[in-house]
Amino acid sequence: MNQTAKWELNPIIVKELRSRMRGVRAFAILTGSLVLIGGFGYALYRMTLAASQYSSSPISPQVGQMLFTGLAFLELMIIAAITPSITAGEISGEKEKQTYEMLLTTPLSPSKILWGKLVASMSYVFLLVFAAVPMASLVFIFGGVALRDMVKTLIVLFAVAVMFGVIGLFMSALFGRSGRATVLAYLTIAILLFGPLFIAVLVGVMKQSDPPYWIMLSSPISVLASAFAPSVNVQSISNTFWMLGSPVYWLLGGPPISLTSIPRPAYHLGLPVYGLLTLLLYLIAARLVKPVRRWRIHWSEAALVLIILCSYAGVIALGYLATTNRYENIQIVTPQTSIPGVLINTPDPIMAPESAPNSQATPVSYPTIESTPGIIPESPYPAPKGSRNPIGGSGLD
Amino acid sequence: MFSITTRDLTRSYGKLVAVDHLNLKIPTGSLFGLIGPNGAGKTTTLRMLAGLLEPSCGEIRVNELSTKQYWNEIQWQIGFMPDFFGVYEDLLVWEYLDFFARCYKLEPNRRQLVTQELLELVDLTEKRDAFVHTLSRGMRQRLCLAHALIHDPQVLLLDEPASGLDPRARVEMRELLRELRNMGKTILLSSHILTELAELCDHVAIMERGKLVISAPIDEILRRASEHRRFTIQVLNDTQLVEQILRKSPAVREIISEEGKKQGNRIEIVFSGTDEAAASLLESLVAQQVRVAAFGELNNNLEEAFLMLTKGEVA
Repeated sequence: MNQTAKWELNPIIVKELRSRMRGVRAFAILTGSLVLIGGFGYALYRMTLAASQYSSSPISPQVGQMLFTGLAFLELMIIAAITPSITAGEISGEKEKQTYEMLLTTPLSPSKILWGKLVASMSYVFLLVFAAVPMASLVFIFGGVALRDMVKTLIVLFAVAVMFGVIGLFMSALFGRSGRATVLAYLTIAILLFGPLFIAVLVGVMKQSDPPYWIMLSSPISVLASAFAPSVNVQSISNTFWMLGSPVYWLLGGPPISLTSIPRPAYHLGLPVYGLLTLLLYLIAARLVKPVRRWRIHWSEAALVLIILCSYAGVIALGYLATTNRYENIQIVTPQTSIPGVLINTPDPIMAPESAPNSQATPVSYPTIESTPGIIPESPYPAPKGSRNPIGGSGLD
Repeated sequence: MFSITTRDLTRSYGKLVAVDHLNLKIPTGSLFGLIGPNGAGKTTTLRMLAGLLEPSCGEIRVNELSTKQYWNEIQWQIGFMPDFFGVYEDLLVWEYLDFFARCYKLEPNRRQLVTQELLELVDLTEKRDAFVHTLSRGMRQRLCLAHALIHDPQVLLLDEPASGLDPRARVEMRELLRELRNMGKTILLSSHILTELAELCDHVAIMERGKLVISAPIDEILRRASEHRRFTIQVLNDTQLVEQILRKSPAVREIISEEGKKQGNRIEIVFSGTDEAAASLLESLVAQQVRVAAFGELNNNLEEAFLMLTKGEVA
């Protein structure tokens, strides 16, 4: 123990990467998924062209938005399909192969084992996701999607992937059998993805009115849609994506319309929930991987958990407070003099939050768009009816 | 000096008491054999010593330190090789050892050195760049032993290191263990075959149904076990006469003749004595005109004999 190195990569990561990235399989899956994404993108492109055959000719940004939406959802599905298959076998596989005990007799702590497993498996998932980024960048050729929406989409995909990964690890640690863990991880993820839609529909039918939109928050589909909502006009893509059900997720997940405040987009609420779920499952799994004294929690450990949870809550609260001026506390200045024939645009439920002015200054006169020069350069008044919100809309009509 | 002491070590799974108030003292630098039939609690004991199982009650001390308080320190002094183990099949042999060296936080250059030395020790140097899944059972066993040695532990816990090995691999394993003992390590190994350990161990403890039957130096165990040898004698004469002769011999404790079968006049005896005594018994039989067709020890299963000898002691 004298030869302790100062800083070393987690041995599990080294081992996992060595064995995973060896051979054809890893690269075959990567190539396969890229081919799938490429083919899907091309098909979308052709579909957009074909769909517009009988209406106006498609405009470049429309194609871009269509492509981007399709690729984002496809990425989500690829993540949902691949992540559990990688992580659900991580702990249980070691147990089944009877290597786990040898691992536990080393000074490597079980939480370090878990962390190594998570990082190693997620790095492979991220490789799959980020390898597709160049392909998604084709969207820039067509335009129509703001870079910040693209980044937000990636962040949401990232968070969702980690959550799926931790769900797989948790099941793996809980059941100790890869088969059972995999099935339950997929089941949980399927419920997260598609369950809210059924509940929302059920509630809607029973109440004979709109279901509360927070039901849809747990579905990564809604949250993902909300991340790029400002760029993409739902109407323009609903025809293509009816089979994914995404417009439904989108519309059901949309926050209530209000004249006095700007509702937060779904990812503002969804991401903290995912983060919390990820954190809790990880902490429980860290206990589950211990061989002895599983539930005898030392006070220092309890304090650590408390600190982690509190700081997480703190970060969320800070984020909430920092953005509250743009949402709940936004001061909407209604013009004193109403111009005849001009109506105030109400916030669109679908493309709500990001269409808020980007400028720091509050009060702002909403929904006048000041931050987009070139469209309505110096008009202090609400945009006349008929003009599209240049950030939120498709930018064309 | 004792490397490992256990006091009233007990582990129960529900109603089943796998290890029952076990008191073991394992002298430093000894090759200590833990023997017992399947289900005697050997594996449970070793797993508790390796920190993989928590004792229901009782105490374990390694180098006079209680494992409950000083596990983080003790961990570095123990190397464990389980009875059933898997290997990471998609790693190369050197990567396998390198992985465990990383787990024990060895520095990069030391890691290389240790890996090389251990591969030499377990005679796998030419397999350095082979995949682990190409290794034979005996090689895997040696690789697993090498992994247990990676941090140069003082105490080695080996659970059935020779199980599933062919005779040649067994001999190699035995040589390896001797070498390790000569390096000054304390080795605790379990087996269900006493004869396998007889030439190897200095000390032997015999367990049955979770309890310690005896713990003593090997000489004493062998001496006591030899009090309970079984011989089979096949004669062509009338067995009556033979039994009379046998009864006169002081070394013959008991005659188990199979009255019902009378298969070729076979007689089984329980014999306590050396080979010398056995030779003279045969001599006396021949001298008295008994035509002996076969004369031999019935089983070499020393520990079975020993367990029979001590049958009364463990209820």
